[in-house]
Amino acid sequence: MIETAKILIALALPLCLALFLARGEVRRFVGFFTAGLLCAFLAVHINSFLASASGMEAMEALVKLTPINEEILKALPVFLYLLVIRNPERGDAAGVALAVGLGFVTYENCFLLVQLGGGDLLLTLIRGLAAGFMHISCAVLLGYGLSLLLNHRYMLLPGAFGLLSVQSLFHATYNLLVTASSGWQGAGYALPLAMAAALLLWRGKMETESG
Amino acid sequence: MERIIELADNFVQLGVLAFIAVWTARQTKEVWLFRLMTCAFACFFLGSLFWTLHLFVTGGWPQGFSASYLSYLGFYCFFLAAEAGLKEKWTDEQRAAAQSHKKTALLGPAVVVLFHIAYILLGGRPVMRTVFCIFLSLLFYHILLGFFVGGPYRRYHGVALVAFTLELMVYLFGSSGWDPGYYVVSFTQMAVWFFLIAAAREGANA
Repeated sequence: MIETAKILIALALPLCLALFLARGEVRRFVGFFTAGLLCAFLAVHINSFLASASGMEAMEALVKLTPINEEILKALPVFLYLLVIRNPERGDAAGVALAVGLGFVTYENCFLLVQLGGGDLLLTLIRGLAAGFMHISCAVLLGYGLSLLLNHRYMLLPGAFGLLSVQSLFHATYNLLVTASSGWQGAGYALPLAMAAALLLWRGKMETESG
Repeated sequence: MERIIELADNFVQLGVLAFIAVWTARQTKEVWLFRLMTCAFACFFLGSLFWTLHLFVTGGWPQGFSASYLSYLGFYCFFLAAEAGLKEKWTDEQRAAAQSHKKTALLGPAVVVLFHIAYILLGGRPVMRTVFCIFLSLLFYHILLGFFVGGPYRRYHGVALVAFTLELMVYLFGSSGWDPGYYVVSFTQMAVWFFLIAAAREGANA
């Protein structure tokens, strides 16, 4: 508990100070990055609570409960932003989601580094990259998806639920693979890369259509 | 043998869903509708992929609550979003027609509830399926309303009614443990998805 709080304070304190100095888009980015850190901090504790409350083993909870919990927590700041800002522009939702995802994965990687101690550097690097791609891809997917649905009032709610389901499923598949034996682990680490490539293609197609 | 058929069903489903997702993603008219349908089938694909990988990684199907249930929820949600999008395009006459058919459209949720009761009586696990039942009720209501209102998407709504009725039958046969019925309905449903895309294309081109 204390370790996780220390990591949060160490990462979030300078960012909170920067919030007073920055303006405009930089301020928004820093704010939502900090919100991502806070979400990851909460996720660590809610995950362990859910695992003990449901009586599941750690690995089982990692596949069944953790993805849903983490994706919901990561989506909350984005939903809050869309609720508070009445007429957000399309790019804003994607940018906000990206900032939250970056904050989330920064905290998670720091937490894992502290938890694992001086482990294998290469494995840490691969794991950090894969987890980074996974969280950022999921966040960007939500952001882009929501930005497409923004102008359609009635499509927004079911669309948001659908996007949350896709994110959680992708996260669950990743967790399932990386917690398995070494062969499957490789496939698990490659999965976020494939997702990131697909998102880049999708973005390129969207820009071609709109431009 | 049973395991082989089950795996074959899963692989066929994976292939069909991947093909449909790519097919819908390539449509250029009414892009928003086909994009939502792409998301729906991609979500279903991810659920099937998770289910299949779980077998290979752990040596067994997921027990109790599984993340793959989310694929159904996502699938229904994207179709609900598509229905909302189609509704946005209604003319004033169609809106007036919808007003007069609202009560009749409640037949859809009633059928879903009847299927759900039968599902529970046959020994199915009710908690997660009740959530599905709520989403399917909403979906049936909107599809039926869209069917009565008519317009270029009338055929699409007709095929969607058949497809989602087959979905209810898949649940029913799944809980009753009657495997032949389950596989026949499951494969028929996969074929109906192709008709659904074709009907959506017809509506978009009209």
